[in-house]
Amino acid sequence: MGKVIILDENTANQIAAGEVVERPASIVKEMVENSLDANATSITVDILNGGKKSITIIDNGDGIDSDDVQMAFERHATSKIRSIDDLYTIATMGFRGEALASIASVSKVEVITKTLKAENGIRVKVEGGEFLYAKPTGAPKGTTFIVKELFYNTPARYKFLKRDATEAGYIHDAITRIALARPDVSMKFINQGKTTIHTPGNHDLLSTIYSLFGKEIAHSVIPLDSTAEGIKISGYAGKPEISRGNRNFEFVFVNGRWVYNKTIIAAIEDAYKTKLMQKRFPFTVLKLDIDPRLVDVNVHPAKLEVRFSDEQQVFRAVNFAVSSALSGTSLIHQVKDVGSMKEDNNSNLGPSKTELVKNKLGTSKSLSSHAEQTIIGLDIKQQQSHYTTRQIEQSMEIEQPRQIEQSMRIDQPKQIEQEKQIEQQMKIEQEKRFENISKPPHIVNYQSIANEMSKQAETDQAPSSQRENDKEKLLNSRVVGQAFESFIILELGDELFLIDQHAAHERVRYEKIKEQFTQNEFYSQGLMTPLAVELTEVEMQKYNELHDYITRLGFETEDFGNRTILIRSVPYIISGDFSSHDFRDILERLIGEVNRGVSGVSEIIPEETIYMMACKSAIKANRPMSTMEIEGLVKDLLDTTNPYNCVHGRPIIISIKKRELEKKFKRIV
Amino acid sequence: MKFSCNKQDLMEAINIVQKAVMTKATIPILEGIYIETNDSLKMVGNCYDMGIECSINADIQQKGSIVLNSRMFGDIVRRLPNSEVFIQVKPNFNVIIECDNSYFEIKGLSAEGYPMLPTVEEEQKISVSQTSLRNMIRKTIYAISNDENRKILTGSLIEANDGDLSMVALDGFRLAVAKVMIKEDTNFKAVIPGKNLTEIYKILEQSDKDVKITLSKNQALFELEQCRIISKLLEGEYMNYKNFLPEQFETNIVVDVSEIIESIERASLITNDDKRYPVKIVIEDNKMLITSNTDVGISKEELLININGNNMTIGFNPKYLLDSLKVADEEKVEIFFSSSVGPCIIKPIEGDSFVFMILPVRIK
Ligand SMILES: Nc1ncnc2c1ncn2[C@@H]1O[C@H](COP(=O)(O)OP(=O)(O)OP(=O)(O)O)[C@@H](O)[C@H]1O
Ligand SMILES: [Mg+2]
Repeated sequence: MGKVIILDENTANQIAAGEVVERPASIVKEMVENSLDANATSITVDILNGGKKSITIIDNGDGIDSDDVQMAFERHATSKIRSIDDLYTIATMGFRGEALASIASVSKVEVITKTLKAENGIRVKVEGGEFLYAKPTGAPKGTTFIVKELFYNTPARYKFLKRDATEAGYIHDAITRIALARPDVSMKFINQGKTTIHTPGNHDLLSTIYSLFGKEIAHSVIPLDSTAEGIKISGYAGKPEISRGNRNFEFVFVNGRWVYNKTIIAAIEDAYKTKLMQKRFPFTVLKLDIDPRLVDVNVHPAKLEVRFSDEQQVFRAVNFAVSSALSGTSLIHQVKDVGSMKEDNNSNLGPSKTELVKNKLGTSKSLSSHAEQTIIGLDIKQQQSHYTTRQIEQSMEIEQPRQIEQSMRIDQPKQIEQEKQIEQQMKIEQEKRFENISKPPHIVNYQSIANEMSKQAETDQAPSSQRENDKEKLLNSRVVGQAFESFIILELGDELFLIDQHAAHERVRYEKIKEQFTQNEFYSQGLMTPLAVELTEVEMQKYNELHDYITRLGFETEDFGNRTILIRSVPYIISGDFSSHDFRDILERLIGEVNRGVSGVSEIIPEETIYMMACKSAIKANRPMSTMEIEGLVKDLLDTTNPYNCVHGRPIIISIKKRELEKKFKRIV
Repeated sequence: MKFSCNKQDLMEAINIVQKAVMTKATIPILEGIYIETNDSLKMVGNCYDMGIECSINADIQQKGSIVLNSRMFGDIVRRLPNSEVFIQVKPNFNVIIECDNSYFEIKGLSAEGYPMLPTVEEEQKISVSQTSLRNMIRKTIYAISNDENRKILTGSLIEANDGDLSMVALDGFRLAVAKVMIKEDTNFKAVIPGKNLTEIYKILEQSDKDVKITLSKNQALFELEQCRIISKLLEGEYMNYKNFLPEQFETNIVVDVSEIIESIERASLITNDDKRYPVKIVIEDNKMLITSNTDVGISKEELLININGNNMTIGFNPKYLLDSLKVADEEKVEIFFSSSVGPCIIKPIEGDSFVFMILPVRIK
């Protein structure tokens, strides 16, 4: 009995029609979604010439009934909904019955399919929407689509296709999204004979992330899991140190579907606001499960955009989930003495408590940064950093990403209303926290510290030291001086602040160089005599490829032949400290970095290279500084987007409370 | 050893020789000042890169020698009353220091093994006034490089040539040459480490008294009335700096030095970090416009000047301009621009007591 029916005209008309076939990647997306709808657990996409020449999609799904195959190619033929009412509760990816028809009308499609029950498979060929033949064939269970010569009959559209590599990049991205959405399905992508994606399909999202993005990223993500306001949110939030130069890595899935939604992106970025520098974007894989009736998935013909009946609710839920996960990463890292607690315990009983804490912290994934910061006797603990009025205010001040900005312009009053609501809710949240805090102090033992930390709700003082507050504090602090000619010591009230002078200046310089790079406003200091640098063959080739980057960093160079280049001027900002070896170092770094660039991303900001230049030009440790110089540096530091952490997440400022010192000296217990 | 001398004289000599004493040496004797009484009182500090020997008037009662820890000895003498200081070494190397009602007895070290200053073979010798040498150092020292990979540029070239004595420093972005006339017709060339010149500068006084400079193969000797300073030389060939100086110019202007200094300083007021933004100079219609455009704001300064040649727009690191202009010691200077991307040259209106060359910043 056939499953595919033709939707009645009324229903068909109510469904937004649109161009589903824009480029090879859209075909892949539609086809793979069909495979998923057919319960496939393994899908292989094999392309030639960026998909222009051919796209082969092989799945092990249900297959199509011989009776239905031909009909499946007709417009509004779908097995997935019967009437418009079903639209509100759909659980399948496809529902319009449009994809196959559209694809077949602009290419040469061959399908080989077999259901479990069928004795034989069937092979069908359709060219330019015209049915050619259907013949029985031997085949395993599942469906194979071969799409050849895309747009062969519409040359005008063919012209709009990009280079093979670019189109392949789009396909790569599309498969990446699907693979993340479906860790239960093994996805394979073969481009020009080379396997570039292969996910395990073992139901584990982290393994999927690992297989797609590699070890470094998989080791730097924090799991998140929360249910708020009826929305279940799971997935992973990347630590600030694996932030990116663009939004391509903010993956969001709603009910198993990759989507683009401004509200969600805004909520994510808001949660990261104080943790990331300007123009840095987080790595996230966020999965929202929400009542399908509250989601409108038909905003965009390609089903990328969704709308929610209550956008604010979604904003709050996402923001809460991400902030909670991140709450371990911090403002000023506070040094707290847990070592002195040792005396309170009988040290003969089993493993030392310090050990215990370390293990505890070490095994908790989300707290691995704590574990790294655990020094003997000292535990650098992070202050509560999210959900305060101040921060929300700040997030409103900071420029919104462009796309979001646009959407905000349209419904600004709504947005403001939304922010207010959030603020209101945060206040309540905060008050609740205060209640907890004001409980009488008790002697904390390691176990309970560890527990509390894993709840990520550890707060032993009012979360008042937010950005502005900190800034004010530090600016009003008395400069005590410098320790070891490396650390600046400031004092205010009952708190000491220690600033790593090199890290601080590096942060200042880093932001300056990056800003100049992104704004393309490089200044180059001319050299009296050009500096000749001899490169290897490979370096020379890279030099030519990266010439634009090198120039934008402020170098003026020319090929002198014989694998030698002449440097005529050097980046202004590092000119004072420029040494002849620097160019090679910078080129080397640039090569490593730009090569890692991901397909589909045409331009990256060479963060690491910039960071290296910043490091080079920053004042070093072991350098005496005058009070005036210290004050200037502190001021500059506080003007940066993140005065708390260096690019790699190490703290720049730490604070020690007078109390902690008193404890150390046994003045108080 | 036993002598007495005036506290002030003693302090001055300690201050001078201390400049050549290591503060963190591996053997204690190297952290000391060598003191010797013979016909006069002689003190020595020596750190291999540089050695200083100073003689002062003293009433010598008993000849001998001793080494005293430089910091301790200096700290004690500094705090003594302004009076006659009596110093006596006991056989166990303990040193008694007495002055008015103060009495110290501190441990000394046997002078044996202290590195004495080498004798410099008197090959080529010239003399120049202390003031002149001081000025030459001041006009050039800021331009030495700190690129340890190009060691030779971390020093200044001192060159005698047919009655001229010049000092040259360059760091790849700028060049400074200062010149004086000397009586001797000697020819020599040597590169003296920048940090030694800085110390020598501090020892030199504003005075017409002469400094004699003697060069040997690997060291230079600076002789003052009471002092001998020996500096090691940097090895290697110094750049042929004259080749860098352009000869053709598109534009030249005459400016008032203090006016232009003030304008540049004001223009760089609007950046927190002095190195971040270059200043832009626009020269047209007998006006010079100095602007800087930073993320903090914009500044504009206008100066009236005399122009010769084309209009010009050019960028500079303000620090480089200021470093040079501040040591010009002239009311007005002439600035020559070879092109908007080529070197510019600052010279006195008359004479050739200095030439400063600065490479511009290309402003995108
Ligand atoms: N790989 C496949 N395995 C099994 N059935 C398939 C497969 N691909 C397509 N079909 C069948 O063909 C029909 C038409 O597919 P098509 O993609 O055109 O429509 P749809 O998925 O229902 O809706 P949409 O246009 O939104 O994708 C599907 O409803 C399904 O029954
Ligand atoms: Mg479909």
